[in-house]
Amino acid sequence: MPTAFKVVPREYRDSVSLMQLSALVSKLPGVEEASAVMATPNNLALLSEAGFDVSAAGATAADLLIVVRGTQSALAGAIEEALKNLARQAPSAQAAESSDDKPRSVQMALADAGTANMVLISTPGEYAAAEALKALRLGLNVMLFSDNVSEEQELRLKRVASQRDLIVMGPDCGTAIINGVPLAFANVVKRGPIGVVGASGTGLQEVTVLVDWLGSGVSQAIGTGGRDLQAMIGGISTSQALRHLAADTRTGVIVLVSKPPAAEVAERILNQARQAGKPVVVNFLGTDPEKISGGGVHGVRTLEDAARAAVDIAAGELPRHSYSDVPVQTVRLPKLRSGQRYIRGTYSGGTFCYEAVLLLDEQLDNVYSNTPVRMQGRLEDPRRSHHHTLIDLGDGAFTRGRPHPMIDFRLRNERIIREAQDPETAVILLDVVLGYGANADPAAELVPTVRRAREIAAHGKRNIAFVGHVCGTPGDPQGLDLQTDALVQAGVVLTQSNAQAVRLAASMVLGRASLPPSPR
Amino acid sequence: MRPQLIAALSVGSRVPSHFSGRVHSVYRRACNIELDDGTLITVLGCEQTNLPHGIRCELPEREVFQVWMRPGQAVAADASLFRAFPGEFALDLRGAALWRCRLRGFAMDSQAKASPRALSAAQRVLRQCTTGGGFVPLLLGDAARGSTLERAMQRRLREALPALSRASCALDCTAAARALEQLAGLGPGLTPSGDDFIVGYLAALHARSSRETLLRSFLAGLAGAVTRLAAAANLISRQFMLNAVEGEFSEALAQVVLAAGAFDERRLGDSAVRLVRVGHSSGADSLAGLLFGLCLPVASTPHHRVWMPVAT
Repeated sequence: MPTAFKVVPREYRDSVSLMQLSALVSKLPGVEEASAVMATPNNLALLSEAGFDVSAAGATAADLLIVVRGTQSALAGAIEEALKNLARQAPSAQAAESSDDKPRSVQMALADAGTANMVLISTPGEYAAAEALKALRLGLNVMLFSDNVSEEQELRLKRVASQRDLIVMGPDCGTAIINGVPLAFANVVKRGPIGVVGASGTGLQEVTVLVDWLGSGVSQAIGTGGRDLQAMIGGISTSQALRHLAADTRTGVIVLVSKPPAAEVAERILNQARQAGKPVVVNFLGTDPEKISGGGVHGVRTLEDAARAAVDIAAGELPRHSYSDVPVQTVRLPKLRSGQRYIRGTYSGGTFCYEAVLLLDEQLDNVYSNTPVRMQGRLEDPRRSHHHTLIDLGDGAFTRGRPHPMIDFRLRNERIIREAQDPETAVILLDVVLGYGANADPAAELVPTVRRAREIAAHGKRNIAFVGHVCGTPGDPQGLDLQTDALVQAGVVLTQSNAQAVRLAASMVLGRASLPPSPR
Repeated sequence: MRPQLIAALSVGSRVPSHFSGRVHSVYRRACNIELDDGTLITVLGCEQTNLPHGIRCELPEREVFQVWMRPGQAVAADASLFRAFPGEFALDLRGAALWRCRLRGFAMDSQAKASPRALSAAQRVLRQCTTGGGFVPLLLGDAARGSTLERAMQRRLREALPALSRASCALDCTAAARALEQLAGLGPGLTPSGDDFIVGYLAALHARSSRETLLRSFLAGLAGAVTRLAAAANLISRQFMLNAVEGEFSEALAQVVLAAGAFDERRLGDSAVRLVRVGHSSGADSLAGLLFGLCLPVASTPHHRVWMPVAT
């Protein structure tokens, strides 16, 4: 039976992880035997003796070797699955999780982990509210990853939680970092004095990632669910989160991020923030920062500004409302043909898309999106671009029946190719989200498409600029440097934040001296 | 930014007082640092046992090093402070106790009548508590129904262990080195089973060598060979093997040896259980090496019962 192998250089997974990886790949269809061992001379000899074709020239005892024996058609997929698993796997010993005695209810889980005070619920939406209610009655805080929970159910859950001094994060809460543990779609960030509350998943990710990059750290990142600041829910979870962070001695500065809240809810939350007893940086996207500032609340314009202001405050420096003039390096403008006029954004993060629409709308006419800031900007058909078009591919219209675009890049790749075929496309904007939950190797998904798009443009004697930013940290399982290097080599201009990428794209189509991306 | 200080509880005797280096690998409750001179130190959570090259610290039980440390990050330490750059992780070393492996100078009487019964307690643990993987299931069981890899590994053990046993009994350093070469880097795990086995074997020889003088020169003769094998191993294995050449072992392994030397069956059983819980199979493999070494009938110990479950 044929065999295949893959050397993963300088990979130091603990023994339990290696054993789990071997077991997982061994169980794949068409695989007869698989193993993940360190590539020592004795192991290479042993594998050879066991009939594996391992011509791993140059491999050393510090490298990990994955070997598979099986049907020819299964080998490549098995190696690929092993690599994906390595990227996904928390690099830690988690043998206990493989136990056969997995709890089958929240109550059973609580009996096993008596000190737990929080549950993460990810079930189909129709069952999620009932499970959340059971958990609240058991005295547990709830992170409700599930969507398709009605507003009425959400309100009921949050009221029950509030009466018990608990919090419901969600529904559709995709991101949180609790006591240093990333939950769902979240990044590996340093711990530190900045607590973040967000009604926006990628907004939370962007702020926590930038706080990490700026050298500070995160005490807690609490998601509230996208509807929490709407009038019907009334900001119940945001209020709870603010109260918790105000009382948390490890939190020195609080950041609050959201799409525009209902006016009366915003007023109530801002009043609470002013009484928090510690500085609160607020980014209500699209709200004039100066109008909400005062009394300990510091308003900012963008997610990047929120991170920078919080880090400045934590360091004892005066914050600013905007950091759009942060100087760094210049980027050579692409040579565009006269008909190339438009920016086309393909986003996996809803908040990134919304922020991009806001920023572009200030500088350009005719900005359209499926998450518009004004009704006139709504696309009639989200599948077709016209003028400047920014698409949130995580919108329900695109994700029904398929994985989120942070995981599955097919839809985005198809869209990029279509935009490249349009002779009016000048710049393609994109976000790349790393961290737990996201695709194991986004660059590998995107780079072939970027190259193909460039070929299409070149065939039409055009040149398309790709501008994006990677929302990730060096600690993320995908490897920040690996991802950025691959994208840069494919010709993607990367900036440090979404806001910087948008401004750079705008400057390109306006033909101005380029705005600068920060060097990583 | 001022780093948050975490108190160090103990510092192993092989940790230099001043050093700089880079983070090599990070796990939930352990973080390896490669020093500029190519040696390794390991920062450990408080629930872990001491290592000669380890710094145990009061990292809260629910926290993990991955939040604080990343491969490639620079670190530096003096006698009072350990810091990672950039970042906020810092250890206050001022109140840390010096931990020294107590096997140095320890004299185990392997010929005592109580010895076989005490050792059988550890052998029982090995049979009962080993979860699978590594050498031990192959040593204790029948690998005929195992994978081709396991069968190949068992064949290798059937050659190498009797050869090591014969060479050790004859105090033949050259032949023992050849046998150890067959084991080094062999098998699964970040520290391959063979490396763990060798460390356990050397712990046994060190424990016995204070009384059994012939073993001292044998051990000294093996030092060069083990150092060469260590040089070819990955950094983590290498450090354990180099420690072992110097007679320095992990606290978990040393406690088994000390309990065996005291013929305290209960303590030996308890410490053996703690040792086999180290890693996936690392603890069990080093316990197997230790028992193999403690039961060897070397020239001065004619009454020893050989512990060699591998069919030869």
